[in-house]
Amino acid sequence: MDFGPYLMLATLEGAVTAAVLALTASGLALVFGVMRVVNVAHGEFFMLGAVLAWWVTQMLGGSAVMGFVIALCVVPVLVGCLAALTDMVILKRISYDPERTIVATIGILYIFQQVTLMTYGPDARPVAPPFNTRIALPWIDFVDGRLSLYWPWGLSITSYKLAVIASAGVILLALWLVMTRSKLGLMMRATEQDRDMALAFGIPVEKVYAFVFGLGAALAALAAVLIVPIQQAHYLMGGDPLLLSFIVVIIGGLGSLPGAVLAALLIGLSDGIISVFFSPTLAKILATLLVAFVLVFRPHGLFGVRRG
Amino acid sequence: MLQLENVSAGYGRAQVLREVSFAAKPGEILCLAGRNGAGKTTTVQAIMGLLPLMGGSVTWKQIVLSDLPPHQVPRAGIGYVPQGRRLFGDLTVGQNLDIGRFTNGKDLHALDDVLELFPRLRERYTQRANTLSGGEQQMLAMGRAMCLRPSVLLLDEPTEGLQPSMITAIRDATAQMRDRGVAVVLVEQRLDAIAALADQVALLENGRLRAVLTREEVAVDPQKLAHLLGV
Ligand SMILES: Nc1ncnc2c1ncn2[C@@H]1O[C@H](COP(=O)(O)OP(=O)(O)O)[C@@H](O)[C@H]1O
Ligand SMILES: [Mg+2]
Repeated sequence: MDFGPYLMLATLEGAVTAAVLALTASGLALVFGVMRVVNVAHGEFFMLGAVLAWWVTQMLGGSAVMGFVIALCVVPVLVGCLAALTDMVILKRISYDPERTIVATIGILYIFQQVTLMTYGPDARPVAPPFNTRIALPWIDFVDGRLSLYWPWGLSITSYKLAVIASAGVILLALWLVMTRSKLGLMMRATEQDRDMALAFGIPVEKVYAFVFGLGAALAALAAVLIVPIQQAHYLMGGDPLLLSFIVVIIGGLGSLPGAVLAALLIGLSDGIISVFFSPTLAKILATLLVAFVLVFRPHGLFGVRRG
Repeated sequence: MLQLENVSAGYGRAQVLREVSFAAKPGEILCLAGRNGAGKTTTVQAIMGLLPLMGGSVTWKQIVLSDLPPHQVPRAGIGYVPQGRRLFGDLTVGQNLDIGRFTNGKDLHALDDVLELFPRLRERYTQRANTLSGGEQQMLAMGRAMCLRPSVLLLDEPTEGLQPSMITAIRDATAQMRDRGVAVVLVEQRLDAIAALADQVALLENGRLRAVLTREEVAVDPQKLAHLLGV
């Protein structure tokens, strides 16, 4: 394959990573932004999303499409409710004290992981994609001085991967609309900016916190349901998304949603491209170096704003 | 009446207020005076439920405000204009006013009233709050609280650091709220403002109530107030 088509293939693979990462990292950024909570258990909500998607599709049996669509609707809500409950039972009790929440969420991480190991077992299990046609992609080239379209051998992507990219875009757009246009979004942003003033104007901050923690987890779960037909569900699968989300949130500017999305694109796409042309290890090394540079030279993130 | 009875409060374990009692009546302005660090802001925050009380109680009409969770206090009709304005700076003027209306979604006139009183806010409606001038920000802080249609209004040094024309606008708005029957608690340091607006003056010193003076007492002997305030 020529360089051009090869680059396009790498970009598309990177876009799938970026899409899933953008969703997961948005959840982490939202929770940190509004609640100032560093949720170390974020990756476990991702893992629960994938594992529950497997449960739901298994229990329903029947057609892959039906099972998957139902999982896509039900699983994020289930995980979101579980997270909201975790917030009310554990984080609220320790008054969201920054140090104690880190320790508490580490505890939550192990509880979810071990309970999953005990019930679901140590195996990685696949979920059938609802559709998976391979689509050959065209490439444009100059032949004899004029443009012509051709289909290079090997340049293709599955319809499901395209759907993952599109769904992530739609979900992020919806999230943005909720944050900027709805009363709920206004409540979350007011709480984020000044918790006491939010209370002084009747915003039930405790409920907002439970909701935000649930929403953050639901975004991770949504990402997991989308990726599980490509990746398989496993009880230890939460580690990578957690690490990558932290990288993204640091690069994007702590707590900034647009920053997280931009940084996810940067990390996801460069990961895809560097993995294809060089090696996946180099991609991880570069991402880690980038984080180090951002921390040293732009501690508020590449896209973040300094908080007053 | 907004009634404070033996209110004690503080930060963490450090007690600041010690058994403060006073009452603000509807249609009147109670000025809360005292030097820097006397506990004026602490008192106002204690009324809003933003600080847990260490003793005593705050009641408005039959409602024991100090028994309510903090977010229920504004729903009882208590409006708050905090010291330093504390707007939602990343949100627009309109969104800040919307947040003021959360507790009374049904009252559509509140917003019109505020925009009529402060036409400047209408001009700046879609601008972010932290891009406003100091005076405009204070109008917005005041407007945000007025959107709640409060029956009690707590104003913590609303004219601090403003230019004279803005000070007049804010004082006029304060007087207007009083004329509408609102019980106003105004934290104020300037003698001229106290003399012009106060129906009662409650003087704090080191977290304790030093004296409560009526309008007449202030009028008869302005030197006494000046002396008590240490100016
Ligand atoms: N957040 C806080 N934590 C601890 N102490 C505080 C805090 N805020 C104010 N104080 C203390 O409480 C006292 C009263 O402060 P404050 O109510 O702000 O005074 P005033 O508004 O009358 O100037 C001061 O001694 C101040 O140092
Ligand atoms: Mg003060």
